[in-house]
Amino acid sequence: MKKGSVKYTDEELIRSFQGGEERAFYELVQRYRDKLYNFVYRFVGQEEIAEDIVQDTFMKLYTSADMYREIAKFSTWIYTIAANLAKTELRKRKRRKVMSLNDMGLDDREYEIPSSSEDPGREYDSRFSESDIQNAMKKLGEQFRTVIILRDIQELSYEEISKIVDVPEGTVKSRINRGRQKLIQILKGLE
Amino acid sequence: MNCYRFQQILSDYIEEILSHGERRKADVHLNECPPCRELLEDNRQLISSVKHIPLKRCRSDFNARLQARIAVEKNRPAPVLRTVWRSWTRGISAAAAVVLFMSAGWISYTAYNPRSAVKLPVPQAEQAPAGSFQSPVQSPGVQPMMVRQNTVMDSAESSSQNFENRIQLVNDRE
Repeated sequence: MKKGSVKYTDEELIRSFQGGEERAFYELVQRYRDKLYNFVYRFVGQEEIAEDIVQDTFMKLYTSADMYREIAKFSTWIYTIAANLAKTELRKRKRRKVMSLNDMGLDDREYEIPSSSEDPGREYDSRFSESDIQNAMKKLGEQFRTVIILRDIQELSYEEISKIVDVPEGTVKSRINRGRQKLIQILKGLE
Repeated sequence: MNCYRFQQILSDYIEEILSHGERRKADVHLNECPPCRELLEDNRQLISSVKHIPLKRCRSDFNARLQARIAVEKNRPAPVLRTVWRSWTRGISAAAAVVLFMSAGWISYTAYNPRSAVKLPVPQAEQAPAGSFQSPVQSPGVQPMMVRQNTVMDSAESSSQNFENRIQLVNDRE
């Protein structure tokens, strides 16, 4: 790894780490730990578990760096690892019969356009609060939650999201659309 | 444009990546559809709220804990040993799979192959008298597969026996 203030790309860093340069690994940790933590926290909803998952993600990176091939962006690869670990954790919790958010049946509901006669002229001057959004996220189905976090919180491109969740871009867009509608429904219900 | 179509293109509308023509159609629809206008406003509000959620940060001891875990990882058996162990276990698993497969094949072969099945002796007393047809299947408790095989073989034998008996009978008459 070169010294100085030159900014290396993620791909250069991972290549350097594959070559045995451990400092490159810690640079990647520095770059991604908070991003991944935000993503995983919004996904699982518990700080401690989220941090454990991010730790596991970096351990995977450390032990399996050789698995990375430069056909994909590093960010896509590391988010995919984190997303898979987060999903596995959620499934484990489901099996343990911990309260599951998907069980609330909201996934299956079809969105209906709100009738203007119900509450005409209602406007949302105030933003939805963070805690309301976090609670609403928990009630959102896994597939919708993932894409909304990646798009609206992590601000990744549709192309990157498509690679992370392994579905076509069109499906990502449609999930984001439907996920947002569901989220709005839930938020309105919470208000 | 109808409400359903508008919902489909809503994200693209918000992100302003629709074609000029599509956007004009959406605008026309919005002009005459209050529910879709409300939907659009809700979406904008939601996206803005989500984007303004403050970034959460890992605890300050995150790196220290990670380093500790890595130190433990480094003290594990050397990768070479692990590789050898893995290849051994893979070899054993493959051998076990082959043995299992061959056993299954042998069992099914002996159970269903007519040639390999044991031929049942036909009791003398129950043999059909010469010249008359009678099914050689008599003994209860005989397995169907074996029975079918014996049926074919025994009927062939008994018909040749019958033929010889008839020749003898004709010769005797003459």
